[in-house]
Amino acid sequence: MMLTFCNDFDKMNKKDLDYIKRLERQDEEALQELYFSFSISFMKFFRKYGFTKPEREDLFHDSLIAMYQNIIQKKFTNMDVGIKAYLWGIGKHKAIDLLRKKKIRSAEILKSEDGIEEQNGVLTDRQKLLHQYFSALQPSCKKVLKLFYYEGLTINEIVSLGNYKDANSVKSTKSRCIKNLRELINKGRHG
Amino acid sequence: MDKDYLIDQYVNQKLSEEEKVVFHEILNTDEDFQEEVEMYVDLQKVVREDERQRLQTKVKEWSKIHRRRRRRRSYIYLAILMVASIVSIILVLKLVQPSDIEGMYANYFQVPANDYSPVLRNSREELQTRAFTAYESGEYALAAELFEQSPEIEVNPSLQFFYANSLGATGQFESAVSILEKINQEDFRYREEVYWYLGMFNAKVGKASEAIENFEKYIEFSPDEEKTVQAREIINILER
Repeated sequence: MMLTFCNDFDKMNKKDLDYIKRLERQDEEALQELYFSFSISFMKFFRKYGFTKPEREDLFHDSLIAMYQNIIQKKFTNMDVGIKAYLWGIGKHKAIDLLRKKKIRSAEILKSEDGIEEQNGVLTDRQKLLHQYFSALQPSCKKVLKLFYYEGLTINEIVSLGNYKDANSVKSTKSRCIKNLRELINKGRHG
Repeated sequence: MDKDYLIDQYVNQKLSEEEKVVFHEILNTDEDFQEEVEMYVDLQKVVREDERQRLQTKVKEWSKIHRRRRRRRSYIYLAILMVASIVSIILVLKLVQPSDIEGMYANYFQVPANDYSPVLRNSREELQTRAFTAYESGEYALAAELFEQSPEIEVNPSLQFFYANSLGATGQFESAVSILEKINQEDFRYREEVYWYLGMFNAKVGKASEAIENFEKYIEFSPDEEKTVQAREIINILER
């Protein structure tokens, strides 16, 4: 089955740019607005590929979250496409994966060259263990590690957010948190 | 170059070309460094996954809200549909009502028979005779015209009664009602019949409550039991 993709989406417009800015600031209300705007049309669009309603709903949720995470992590760089096209593009990639999982021969399915990075929530066993330790950290530690490794902020950018006194304070918090994480890992290994 | 710095730059894909060279040199020679890099790469994936799971919970909540909103919207549409249906039914009933009255009129209306029948010889009386002749032969328009010309019309309520019925029979209900209303207080031969025909003509022009009042008066005054029963039936129809 050939998975085609509409190219008739609007290009990035002022409204889209506004949404991108809001999402970059991690304004989850903006994400909710997009959820309500696109939910029905997304579900309708992917119905023709034979997915069930729960599958389409999961597909939509995963795509929306992936889009949001990519925007936060500055992986959304192709400003030629609008938000809708970008979201549908992610949806298409995830749909391909889903079709593959469902053992549908989809060798001819084309992955377009729109550079959409996919990062699914599939963790290795080691990563799952690390996730457990990470979840056990103090909220302040999780927050600083998130700023570093999820949002990809530099020390100075983190300072500018206003929650830390200076760069040394950020550095020391980060070191302490990594140390705590290591201790948890070691405890896990030996206990 | 600080190894921690290099690792941070690497996982965030911010290494410069020069830093990349140094980074890969260390990576190829230092096993501890390799482990560190793997740990941070994993950490980045884990942080992202942690955030993804948090968002999943949130998005599922939105899904419920969205579903609730859509359901509420469906209820609103349903309510609008129901109201529209009720309004339509009321309108249809309103439209049907006149045909009920039409049916009633067809069933119960009959021009009163001329049992007045004056047979007089002079010219004035001749006019009346011609009027009643026309009336009896169903030429109500002519009858109405002749009754109207009768010099006695203003003083004879019985003539006015037949004049009004001639007008009623030609569809001039409003005129018929106004004549009958003028004589309905008079004590004369057709007194109770005046109420019956007032009721009929008022019903025809859509004045149901006036018509009901007329038929109630008819029931009050009329000795004719059969027509009294009919008057009650008509009232039932009009009350619908």
